Amino acid sequence: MDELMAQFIVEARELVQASIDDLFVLEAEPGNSPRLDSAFRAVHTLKGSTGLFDLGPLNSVLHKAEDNLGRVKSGTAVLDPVQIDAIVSVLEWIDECVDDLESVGAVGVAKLERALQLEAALDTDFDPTVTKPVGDAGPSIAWALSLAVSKGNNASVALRYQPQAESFFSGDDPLALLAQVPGIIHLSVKPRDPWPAPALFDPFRSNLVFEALSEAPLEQVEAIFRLVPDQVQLVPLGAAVTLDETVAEPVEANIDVSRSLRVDPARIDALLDLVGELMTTKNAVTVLGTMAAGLADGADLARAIADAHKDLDRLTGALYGGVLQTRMVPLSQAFRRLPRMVRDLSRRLGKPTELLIEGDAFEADKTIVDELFEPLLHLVRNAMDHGIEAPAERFAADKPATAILSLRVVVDGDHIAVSLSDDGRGIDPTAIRAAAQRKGLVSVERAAQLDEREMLDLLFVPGFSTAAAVSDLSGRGVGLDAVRMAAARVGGSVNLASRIGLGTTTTLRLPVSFALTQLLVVSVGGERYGVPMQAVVETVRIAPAAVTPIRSNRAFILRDRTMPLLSLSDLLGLPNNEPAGDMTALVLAVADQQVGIVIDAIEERMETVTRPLSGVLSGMRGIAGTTVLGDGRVLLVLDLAELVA
Amino acid sequence: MSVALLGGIITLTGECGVEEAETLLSLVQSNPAASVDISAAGPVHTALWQVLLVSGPRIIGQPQDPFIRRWVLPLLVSAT
Repeated sequence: MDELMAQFIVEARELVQASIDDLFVLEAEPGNSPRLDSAFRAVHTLKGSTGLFDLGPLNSVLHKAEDNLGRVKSGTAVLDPVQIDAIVSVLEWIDECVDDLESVGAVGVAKLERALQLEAALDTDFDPTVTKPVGDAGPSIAWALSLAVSKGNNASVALRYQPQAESFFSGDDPLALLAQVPGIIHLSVKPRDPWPAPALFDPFRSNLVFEALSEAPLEQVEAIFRLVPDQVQLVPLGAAVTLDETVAEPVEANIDVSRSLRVDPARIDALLDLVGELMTTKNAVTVLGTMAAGLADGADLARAIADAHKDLDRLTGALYGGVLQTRMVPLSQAFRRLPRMVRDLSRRLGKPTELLIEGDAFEADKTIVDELFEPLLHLVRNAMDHGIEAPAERFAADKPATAILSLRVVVDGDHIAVSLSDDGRGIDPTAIRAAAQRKGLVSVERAAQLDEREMLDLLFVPGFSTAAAVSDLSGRGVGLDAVRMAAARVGGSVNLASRIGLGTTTTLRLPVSFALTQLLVVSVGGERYGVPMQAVVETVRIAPAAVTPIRSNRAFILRDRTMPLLSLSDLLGLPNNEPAGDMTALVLAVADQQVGIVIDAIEERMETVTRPLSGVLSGMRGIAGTTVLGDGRVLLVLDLAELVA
Repeated sequence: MSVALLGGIITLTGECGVEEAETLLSLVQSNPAASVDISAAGPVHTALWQVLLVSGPRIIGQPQDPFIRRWVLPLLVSAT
């Protein structure tokens, strides 16, 4: 791919993201002119760069979006949610086109055909005759501005509600509607027409015009009047009103991006590999020291080698840390699509939900942040689908209609805890137990012994997710085993806490980066594999007499406990050549149960950098990652839990 | 009956639906000196507030609804 295009692809994604972020802020704070400037700039740049390529349709749609934003900037138009939606759709479409450009080098025909439709949406919903100029305020919104200036500078929306004369007949109660408007800071009323003589006054006809100011987001106010849109005029305030008091400062956030250096992650990975090898080589120096000490007059040499080794140790440690540091990216990268998704889902499911994000500036290794995205997506979808109730149910439970989904990051030593909490209906552990029992995932006896925590844990059992009955429960469960697996891949864990009626919190605990891990190198069928020490409970020798065949399987007895005995060569599909005598086995704790795994021999222990698989290899079952040995060979590190499962 | 003339005072009690706007209007018009007691009023339809707004009788008491107390009552006072 040509370099210019490669750069465009990277930049376009950033610009799309930046401008969508800006637009979402603008939706809540219509008067935020720095974000408006930033959105305009991003769309402008995006348009400019599409002009460099043969991307006519993209260019022309973006041109229109830029025009519209320009009109908002100059104060001749108002940015309403409909228009924001239209522009966001354009940007999401651009994102999809960029995906095409990256994968096949050209934008698909079907996508290009959507251009006209998107352009039309920008047009129809942005009829300048509807949105009168803000600058030389036409009569229709002058009232809003003067009201805002005289009655409340913090107002975000001015509304003028003129119920139809016949509205009482059609069942409307205008004041009851107004009472629902959140954050009212002013309300006044006046007659639409002069009051008639008392004898002519008809009490069943409305002659009222209400004017009000609210501090609530435009969208919320709009929702209240959705059934009488023709009788109400909503004016998002801000731009014209707040500009006077807050002198707009340019937003720095988006500029930072261009200040940093962009490096292909593969280059950093190559560096990391070299550091790993350097570490192994460094260990060889220790051996040299020992050898020198063994020489007749080698004491001085041994001391010199030991000193050099100490320096080498310090420097390689610092180098390793430094290289890892370059891979650190803020967690916000994993979170950035979530606001879009929540907004989209809350509309589609009819469950108004607000996403609060806290601590997204903390950093973690890029691989971990990348791995985080999908499980989070899953969890958010689950929470909105199953956890959060429909507004009517929330109302009945005395909860605010708008649900809160809160995403918090807490740093805990060299781990981060990312927790997603909803204030939904919670999960009934006994329902989960019943479902698991029905599915045959847990025996009746075992089920009876489970405590609440263990019942919830059943949600993570593979197979539970496929149970169709789950959606009938108050629970979630869809793909939670996948979430746990994703976390385990990077050395993390998941847990879930729930209180019926109050909500559910799922916490992903992940390492901040890939620290050095202790590996046990084992041999089987003539090959060598690494096994993370943390997975191994103990290593044992098993006499043939201790092994009992059970149908096609085997079990053995260790300190009065019977546990299954598997063979690593079987698990890996290697030829089986077990010795006739005693066997060597690793005892592992897998899902609350201990399992023995027969290996040929334990070779050595080592401390190394284990890197998760990437690219084509990433889907490989049972492999946790790789590490480079001192002689340049690659050692596969096994994920035994996954192999056994 | 939620709109009634009791001892020379027009009282609004409990929920007062749109259909009672006419009753209220005729009571207010035929008893121009009577005060209107809204202290026991529940949800009152806009049509009735409009009657009070137009005819401007003296209002006694405050209803439970905080929205009415904070935003609607001042309108009645300022209109008279």
